[in-house]
Amino acid sequence: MPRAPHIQDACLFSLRRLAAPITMIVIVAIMAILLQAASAQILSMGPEFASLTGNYSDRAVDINNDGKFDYLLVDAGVHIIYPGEYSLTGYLYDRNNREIVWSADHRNFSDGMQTMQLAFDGKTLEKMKLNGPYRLGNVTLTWGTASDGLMPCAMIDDAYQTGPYNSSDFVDPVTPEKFLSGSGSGELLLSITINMSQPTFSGRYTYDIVGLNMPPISVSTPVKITGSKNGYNLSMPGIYIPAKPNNFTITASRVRNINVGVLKLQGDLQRTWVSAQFAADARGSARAESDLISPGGSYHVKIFGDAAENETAVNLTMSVTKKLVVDGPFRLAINTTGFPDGAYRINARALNGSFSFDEIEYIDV
Amino acid sequence: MTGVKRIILFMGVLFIMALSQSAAAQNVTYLENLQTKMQEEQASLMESLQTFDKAGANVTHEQLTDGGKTYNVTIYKDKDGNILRELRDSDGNLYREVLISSGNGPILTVTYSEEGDVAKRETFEPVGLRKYTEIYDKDGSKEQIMQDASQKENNTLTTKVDKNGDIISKEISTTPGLPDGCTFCRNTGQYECEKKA
Repeated sequence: MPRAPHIQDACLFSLRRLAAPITMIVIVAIMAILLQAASAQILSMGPEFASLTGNYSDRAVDINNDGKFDYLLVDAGVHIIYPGEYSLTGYLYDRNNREIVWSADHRNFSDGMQTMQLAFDGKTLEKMKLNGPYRLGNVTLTWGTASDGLMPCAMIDDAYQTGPYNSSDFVDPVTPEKFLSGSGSGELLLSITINMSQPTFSGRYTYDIVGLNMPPISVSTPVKITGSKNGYNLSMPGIYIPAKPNNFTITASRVRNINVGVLKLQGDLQRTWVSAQFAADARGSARAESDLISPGGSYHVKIFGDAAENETAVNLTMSVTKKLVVDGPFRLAINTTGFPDGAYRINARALNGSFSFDEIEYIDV
Repeated sequence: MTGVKRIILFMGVLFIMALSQSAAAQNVTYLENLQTKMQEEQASLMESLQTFDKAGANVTHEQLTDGGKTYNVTIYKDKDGNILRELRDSDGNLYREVLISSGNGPILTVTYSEEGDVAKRETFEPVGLRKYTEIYDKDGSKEQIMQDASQKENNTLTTKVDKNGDIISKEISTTPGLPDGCTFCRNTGQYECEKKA
């Protein structure tokens, strides 16, 4: 399971007081030393682990037979020299080089010629309203796992061009905004669980949660985020959400394994992670979890893996646990972009013995 | 700015420089210890290379282009999953041997000169991104390079040794080992590559 991104330390200091010549000489000397070190840098290390063969193909799939494509699949050939876990990430761009959607794959390979697959989310292709053919670009092949470390093996910006798809050929996402309002006092431990069934294709399953905001609150609700060594605390009118607990769990059943890829948009940067591969237990249940999902950005979470033999659908269960400190009236505009369709179960338990709601209302607009 | 302030500032800068020197010195000790371990590992891998059970291995063939030249590659895979890749030029001369240990283990790469002598030995540990390299010169001297790419700065120790085994020079430097824009993240415990949105 990928863990939260880090925030780079900003090391700022004022140069205003450093005008004296002797000080400037020292600074110039230090800069010269730093530049000398920088010029000695090299980029590559280690032997070749794997390479992209340049063999690509694409096709769109309608998993649930509703007449709309759910995914655009791009197969990529890879040549593996060093056996192990590999991640492939890539983006689709339109003819005017506008970025449309990201995807990732992660598999455990022996050596030799292998195939990886990027399943691009149909909901995002439809939502962007940009027609193909699409260019597959910014492709990165990486060896390793989230726990052991990753090593880039191959990077290519202009890899492949897909067939001529129309965005309207893909499934239309539904993202209504919801409002939760009320007034109360006390501490609640809130657990939200989502159960859903996802059809398989070619023995695999994949599900994308695209554009998920953390926290999933619309801009009309002011949210103050403060960081600490334990994580991030959120403050909204009438509600305070401390950093811990922050358990986020994904369980897949009737599978052979589970992988999770995450793309986070943070400011003007994009960060990607792909988890290690978690194998299923004897009952065919695989689980990935994290306690470090951080706020302040938009996420694309991709859940994928191999289904158990002859399974036509897999069950996915996502759950998150948070503590809420409610003190007075609140009204939250909830941005449900990216929320999965499925059965939601919400469990609220009063902490410290007492909690009261004077009123609570949930509006689905 | 008064003279006293200038002196204090200058002393401060000197203090920071002394601290960075101290950090570099600490890394030299760390890398020397790591190099000793990697040398032992390399010796063990050399033994494994020499005793690799080619006769009992599954054998496949492929071609590979490196530095503009095409090599014939023979791939041996033993019963434990260890892989030996032998690269030979079109005349059949051995160019490179790559021993890949099973289970995310280390990789030993031995490159030969046109004369058939060992030109370079490299041991790479993918878990941790550590590499120890020995580059041999015709005059009998060699260069030993210990690199730990998980360390952001002062992560490479280069030692030059003469033909008698005496150290000629020792230098610490920074070699990232990852492409531009890729960094090690302490929180995620993995390497991340950023790109402009």
